[in-house]
Amino acid sequence: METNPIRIVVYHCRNLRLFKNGEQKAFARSRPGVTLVALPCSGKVEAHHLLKTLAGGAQGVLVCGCAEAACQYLEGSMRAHKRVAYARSWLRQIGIETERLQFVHLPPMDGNALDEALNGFTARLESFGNVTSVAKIQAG
Amino acid sequence: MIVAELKPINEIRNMIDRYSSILVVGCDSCVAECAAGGQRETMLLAAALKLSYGRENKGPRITEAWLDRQCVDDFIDRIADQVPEHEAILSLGCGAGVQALARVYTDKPIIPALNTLFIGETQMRGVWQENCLGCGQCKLGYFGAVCPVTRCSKKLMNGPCGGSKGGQCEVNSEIQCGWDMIIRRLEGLGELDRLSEYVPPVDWSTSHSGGPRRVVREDQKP
Repeated sequence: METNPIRIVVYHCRNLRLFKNGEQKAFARSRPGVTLVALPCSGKVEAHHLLKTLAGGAQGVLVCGCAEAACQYLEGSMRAHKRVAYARSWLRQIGIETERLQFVHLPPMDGNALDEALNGFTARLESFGNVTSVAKIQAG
Repeated sequence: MIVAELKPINEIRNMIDRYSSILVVGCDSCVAECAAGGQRETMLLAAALKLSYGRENKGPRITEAWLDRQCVDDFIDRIADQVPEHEAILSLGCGAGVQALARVYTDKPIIPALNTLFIGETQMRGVWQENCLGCGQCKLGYFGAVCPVTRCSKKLMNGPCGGSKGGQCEVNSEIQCGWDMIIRRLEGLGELDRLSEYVPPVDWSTSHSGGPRRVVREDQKP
């Protein structure tokens, strides 16, 4: 029984169309601890969103973008990738595992690819142990 | 605009560790344009501090705020209700903003989160170039709007030193030769003749070398 699932927030580009109607809820139910956030483009993610998400109690953040050549907004996927790298540089400064922030290119309409990416990401996070108690401390 | 960059988080921590509540205040003017101290960076730094303290099981109260300008009293007043609730203010303003906050909130320690660098322009996204030293005697009109005081590493006012190669400065090959830019620009404008005019050496007494400067306009005073 998973009493304490690893808390992961997934920011995914809506244009990936990872879920058909109603599938997103079912997916989230099958993955306790995972919060899915659909964005109009992965390029909407900024470094402060990523750090805030971690500071808010997530143990890892996965950003899913389209292939760079397929980005409808031309630069969105590339920007998201760069911002994840920038946010990671902050984690490095702070002394927190940089792999807690991950960017992946996913093929469109492929929920299984997300599933696989999450499996690998979860396993990596599990190896770090319980992240930070930031949320509890700072929430007050 | 004023160009600045965020200090390393350890340096900031060294200055704020003694406080139990910190108001992180951004500035949405120059330092927002250079992605150092605007709303985004304020949220970023606040989150980074929370993570940094959380990692050590410490929990100072960290609150975010931002002002349209940190160097004007009318804007500074807008955080007046938040200031008393915090022990210190961490400012993401330039040096002028930090000192303006200190002048207004006399009983609060104001800690700078940025290193203020120079007056410059946004050349392209992610690239900021110094192009004004604030010498107090602008002579850009003689030089095709390229400043020899700032863009020439040797601050030469009457022609190139002769050391540049391929348009790059001999001091540092990554710096464009200021005089190469001046001559090409005047050539393009058909105004090379401007360079035949003698321009005397800069009188540095009007620059910062003459001490802190101040402009007083009676017509603008209340």
